[in-house]
Amino acid sequence: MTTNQAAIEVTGLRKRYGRVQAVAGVDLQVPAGSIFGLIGPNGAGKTTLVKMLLGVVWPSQGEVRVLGGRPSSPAVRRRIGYLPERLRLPAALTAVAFLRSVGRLKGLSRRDLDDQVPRLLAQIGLEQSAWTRRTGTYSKGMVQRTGLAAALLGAPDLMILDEPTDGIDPLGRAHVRELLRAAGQRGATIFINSHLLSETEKLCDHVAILDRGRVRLSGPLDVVRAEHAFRVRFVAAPDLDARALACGFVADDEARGRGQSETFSFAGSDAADLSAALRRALADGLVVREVVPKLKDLETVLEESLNGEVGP
Amino acid sequence: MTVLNVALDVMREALARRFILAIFIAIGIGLLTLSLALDLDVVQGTLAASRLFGQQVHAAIVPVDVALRQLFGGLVYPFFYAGVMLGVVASSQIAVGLLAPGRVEFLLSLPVRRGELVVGTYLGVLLIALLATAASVGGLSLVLFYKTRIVTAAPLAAAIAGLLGFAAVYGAMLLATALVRSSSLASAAGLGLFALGAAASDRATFVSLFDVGWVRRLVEIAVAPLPRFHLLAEAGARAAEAGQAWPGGTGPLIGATLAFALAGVTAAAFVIGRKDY
Repeated sequence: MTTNQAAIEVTGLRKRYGRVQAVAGVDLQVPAGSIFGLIGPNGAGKTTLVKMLLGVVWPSQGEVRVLGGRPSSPAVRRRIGYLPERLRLPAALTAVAFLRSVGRLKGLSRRDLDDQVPRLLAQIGLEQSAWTRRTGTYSKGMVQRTGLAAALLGAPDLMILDEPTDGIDPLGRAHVRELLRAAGQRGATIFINSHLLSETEKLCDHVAILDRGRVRLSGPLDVVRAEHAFRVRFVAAPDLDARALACGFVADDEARGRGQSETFSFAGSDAADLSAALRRALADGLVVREVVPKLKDLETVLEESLNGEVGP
Repeated sequence: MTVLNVALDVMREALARRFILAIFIAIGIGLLTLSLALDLDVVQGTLAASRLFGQQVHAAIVPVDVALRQLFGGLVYPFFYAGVMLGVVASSQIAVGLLAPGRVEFLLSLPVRRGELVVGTYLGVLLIALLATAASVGGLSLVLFYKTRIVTAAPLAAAIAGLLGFAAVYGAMLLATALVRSSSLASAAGLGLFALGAAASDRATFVSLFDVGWVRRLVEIAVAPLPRFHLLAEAGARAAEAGQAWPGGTGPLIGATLAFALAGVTAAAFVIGRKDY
């Protein structure tokens, strides 16, 4: 699968539970090889959407294509790794026995299991002493780590993870991010449903915002976060504020509040306008230290999207 | 292949449970106690006397194989009824555990069709029942062989009757679990069906307990598909007394019991196949 193909394609997807419309017409494309974050408020329909991607919940209407096939197809599912929101492990089994059982159902050979199970358990940071302990004695974080190992088993082309870092300590979260980035680097598509915006921001390169069963906004993270403005930092100079203002820049109070003096904003996303303003500044003898596009944090994007300020 | 993998996984998981393990340990302890407490005086193929815990239980002089057949003939009923009921209680949580929130979504995301999951679960539970039956009946046969040097097919009858009965009951339990994820309800459905099927084995006598007219007709229709569990136990006892694995002429009884089991599993697969989890 090339990277310009979609790993997940959803068209006109709806799900109704009695009188409740959980998903109200979702169209979504998840590019192959991307790390895609699905965010939205509670009750937005995220988990229902995720379950429909896996064929666990049947759509009332619409179509889902995953890795070019139907999600109910065993051939497609063999290429998917999934971590549910609240994974329940078989309490009587050890992590090793559980992973071997999952691997057998995924069609992995005994040799593959001998190789992958201990390696994945080590990678996810589960203490070796816990490998042969019944999972019924595990903490939430340990259950989550074991579930992640199960999702990574067989090096799937697509990983669908529902709140993957839930219950994991901050250091563990960084470790999980590294593991997922590594999976992304080998070409896997990673679809994450998370309410932790900071995690999504750190890990994902694409996001979609779901609210009341509809996609409000979707696209590459940088595009979604773009504020249509640039932040320009000059080298200190006499009368800097007045001279920059004359060239079209305004003082960036937010950056200055963080101690970054000599920082200005340039409104607009047109590169030609920005170039012209910078040329005027350079002609006036100012020295540019840094030019970066201004980005909103994901929380702001979410708030604006839910308030109808951005999006379709 | 997938069905077999599911069945073996269900069996492995069940055997790792303390409750199921305790049943097997109890079977082992029971057999060990019996082997230590039972004393059979066998002289040239004839049972001269038998003592259990030092008390004489059999004084008549009869050929050993005849004595064993009588013993197994009598044992089929308690084996059958206690075995099926123990099976119901022991297995009631297995399918519920697989369908539990957080577990079922994960299982359904694996390359396993829903039908395969249902059939695999059913076969896995039957495998456990087979193991428990083999352990108890096989162990008992071994103990008696050690004491008498006689091999008999009689214990097999109890095993076959018990397994057939449990196969039908567990089909209904699986359907109950598919409809409502509750181990209590699954147990109640299993025990209720077993009791009703046993009581209604003689259809004519059972329906005569109800008012003549539409009530009796309704009862007739309601009990018509139920397996005749008591007839199964009787057939097992007859086989044991005759020293056979299973008596002839019981094909329709076995067929009807298996058809009921198959209907339960098929209905469970249908329900689970259409449900959202």
